[in-house]
Amino acid sequence: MLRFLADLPVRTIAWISDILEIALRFFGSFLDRGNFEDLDRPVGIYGALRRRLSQFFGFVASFVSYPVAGFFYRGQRRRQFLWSIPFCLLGLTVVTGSLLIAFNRERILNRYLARVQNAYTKQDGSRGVRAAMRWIGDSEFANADRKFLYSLVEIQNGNAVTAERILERLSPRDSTGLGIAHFWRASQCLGNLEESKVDASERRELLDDFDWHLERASGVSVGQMAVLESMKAYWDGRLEDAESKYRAVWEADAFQSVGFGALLKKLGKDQEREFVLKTGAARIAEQLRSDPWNRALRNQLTSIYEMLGEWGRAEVVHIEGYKIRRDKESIDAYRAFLERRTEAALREPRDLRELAYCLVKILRTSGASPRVQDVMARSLLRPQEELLGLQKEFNQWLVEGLDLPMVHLSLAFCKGLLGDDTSRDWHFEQAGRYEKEAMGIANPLLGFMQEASKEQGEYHQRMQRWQLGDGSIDPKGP
Amino acid sequence: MDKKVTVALLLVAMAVHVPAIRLILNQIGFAGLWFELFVMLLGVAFLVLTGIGFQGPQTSANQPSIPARFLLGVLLAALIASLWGVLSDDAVWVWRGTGFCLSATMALLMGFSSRRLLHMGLLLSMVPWALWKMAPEMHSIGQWLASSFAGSILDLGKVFYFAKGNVLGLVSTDFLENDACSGLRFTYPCVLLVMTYGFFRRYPIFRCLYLLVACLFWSIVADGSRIAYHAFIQDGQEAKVSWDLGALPLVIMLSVLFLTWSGDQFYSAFSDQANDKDQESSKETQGHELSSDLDNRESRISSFAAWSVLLGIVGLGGWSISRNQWGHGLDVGQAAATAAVESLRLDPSVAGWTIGPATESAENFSAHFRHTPSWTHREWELTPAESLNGTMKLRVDGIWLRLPKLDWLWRWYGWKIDRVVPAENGSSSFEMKRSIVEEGYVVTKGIRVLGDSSLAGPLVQVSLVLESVRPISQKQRKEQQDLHARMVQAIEQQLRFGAAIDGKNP
Repeated sequence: MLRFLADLPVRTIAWISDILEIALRFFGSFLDRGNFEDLDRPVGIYGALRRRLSQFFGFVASFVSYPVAGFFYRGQRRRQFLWSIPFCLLGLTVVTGSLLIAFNRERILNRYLARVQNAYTKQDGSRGVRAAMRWIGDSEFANADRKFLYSLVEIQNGNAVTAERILERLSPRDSTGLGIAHFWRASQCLGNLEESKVDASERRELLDDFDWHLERASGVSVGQMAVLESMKAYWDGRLEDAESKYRAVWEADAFQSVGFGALLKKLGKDQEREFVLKTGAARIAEQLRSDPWNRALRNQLTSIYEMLGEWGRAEVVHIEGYKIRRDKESIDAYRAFLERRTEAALREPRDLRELAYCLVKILRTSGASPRVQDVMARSLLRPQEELLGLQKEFNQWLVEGLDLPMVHLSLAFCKGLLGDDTSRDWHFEQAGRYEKEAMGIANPLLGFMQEASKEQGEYHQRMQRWQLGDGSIDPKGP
Repeated sequence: MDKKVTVALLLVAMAVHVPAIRLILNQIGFAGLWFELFVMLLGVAFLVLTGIGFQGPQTSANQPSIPARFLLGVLLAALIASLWGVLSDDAVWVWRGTGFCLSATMALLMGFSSRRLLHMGLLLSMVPWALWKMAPEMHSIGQWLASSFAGSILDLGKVFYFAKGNVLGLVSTDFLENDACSGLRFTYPCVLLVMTYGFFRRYPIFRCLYLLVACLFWSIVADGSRIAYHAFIQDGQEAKVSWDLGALPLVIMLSVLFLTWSGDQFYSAFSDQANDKDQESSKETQGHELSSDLDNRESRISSFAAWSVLLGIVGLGGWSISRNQWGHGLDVGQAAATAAVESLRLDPSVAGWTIGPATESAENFSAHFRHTPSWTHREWELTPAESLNGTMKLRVDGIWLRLPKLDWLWRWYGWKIDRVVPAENGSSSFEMKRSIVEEGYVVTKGIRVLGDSSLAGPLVQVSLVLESVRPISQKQRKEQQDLHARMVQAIEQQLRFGAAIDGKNP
């Protein structure tokens, strides 16, 4: 026993040595590229397999060690190694770069997603859409929420139809869809319901759709949901319920004044409607005073004034907004306001003073655009008594000092249609004297009026008689 | 094997296919592909010249230097290629078959080895790439890879971009990089030069394939880098940046060739095959030595079989001559055809549609696999009289010698095409979809430009395209088909030619 214990260290070393030798032989055989003596060459299936395996490991070992081993080559092989460096380095770079991108795909797409969110915040729709193009076709990455974001930037980009289509696809009837898209669909149904042309069967169908989408709507504020629920109550005939629900929303949020006012109008409560609108306007005006840069507040306030028919106050709010932000959006908002104001003035019975004002303003802001030509024809190609009335209003505005070149230009057209050629030419010259550009507007307008008055023989003759010169004005006058 | 008989039969076999060769040469002239042809012939000439310099042991005057069995294999390949060409009405395949016959003739006359015969045959098969039927598909795959690689570079450089199929667009600008992504420009000459190099070095077929793969890889990498470079310059610029390419294509081509050669050095260093040439030389010699057993029974059988195959090729050529299959040629020049398309004028209104000039399409480029030196593209916008909804675009794209697949352009731009449905009047139509909302419907047809109706001739593709985010109704499709038929009729009348053909011809 003692002898055994005395030999144990020696034996242990011998065992370890044996194990190491066996292991080295075993693994070493894999790295030995078929370097067998004929007698040692393994035979049979196992042998062939082992040979192939060892060749493979040998190949891998050579490949891995190539960058270092190459520097120990000599002669022609060394030269070949040196010339192969561009191939190896560039090849490795290309493969590594491509793998890097492939393994970081999600992270890269998230970068684009952030870009879209950023563009949406900055209201840069076109850039947002282009950034979204990177991932919108990727079914794995583009989930419902991201598709919804895409629809929002499409709206900002002016592609409302595209956005609607996306929202429709996000709120299908046969599957869950996205809550906010269902909310949008419910709002759309509501808008369609309020159109007067809808017949009974269509109305039933729309109500059914409205209910279905409203049940699945989510992801918006409680107030917004309450508005739709209130309108559902209205269409279900629960008028008291509708009013009380909407009132609760309005009391919490003055932004709902326009909607609540519209509901009260439907319910025939005009006095209450006026109170709601005026109170709402006062609350929003208060907020706007503390945050004059807030465009949403400004737009809401002008909408309320428009509903109240207080066009002058609405215009003041718009002009204030334009002075704060002289950008395209402010200009577009003002132009759209003028369009609505003009349409209101053109509605029978006509308010001629208001119409004269709108014509002057629209001439100033939109020049001789097709829309202005249309308004001009609808305003001036009217019975003589009405035209005389309009001329009187223009004269009044002239006295009040409203945009003199445009008022003179409008008066020139009135005089021309009434057959007073001398006054026509005088007003036209006055317009040119104040502003030479006014002459440029007159040419396309006259062409259009000549064409549009074809049905009205006398007016047509008078317009045909009017020949504009080259627009040059004698600075000294007649 | 009697060499004289074999050579005589080979000459006859080539002679009967002269009309097909002439047609291909006409097409090369029309398409302005002389440079590609020159590079190919240069490669063959180089192999011939270097082959003359490398003469093995001479055989007797009437004994071929190539084993009869090998010659039989080559001739069978030539027969199959010619047969395929005649049956599919594709002169390119007849060219390839004749190319092998020519290689065999030269090899027999000059005492070349079977390996050199094969190399010359393979090089002669490389008809200019644009004439291949698969050219648009090959370019499309290659361009997709190149654009994807360019995308990876842009991602690494944090340049924001998006891809519409094979074409990239930058987030910072409002247009697509159509020009940069219009196709791999220098791949064909590179491939030819690499093949010639591999054959000259007498590399085994595996190594030649390795070199080809390396060449294609570097071509794609180089093209991707070019696109990425273009995008880097354009990024953040609101207006399109125009820049002179100068010697850049040549530099890129030389870079591809250098990197391929570097890859070849890697192969040599890694596999330690410094003595390839010696090994191959011995094989070259073996090619001559094999002819010593010509008189055995097997060789005689192979010889008779080879002659039979040659007679088959001759018969095939005779048959195509009797049908005047290739006799029609091209009866109109490229300049005349282009002028005819350029001078197309359409009435300002047709059947309640107003036709006006279109704003330049974002999805339009000069296809690199075109069949003319310059690309012709015309586009009009059709607006319905009642409203602005449902505006369509009429495109005339070409000029082609043979129409590619009719949906080539839209696939290039990433549209997923539904089944192409042919109609009775020769036109075809298909639905397509892209991203999550884009839908489209295209009615298209190939129309011959000028010339005699019985002849093969240049074609343009006339397409009426409706793109929408709303599903396109059956009524809209029917209306579109009718309108397309009217437009095709109007264009055909202007081109003074009454026949339209489908994508399978000529």
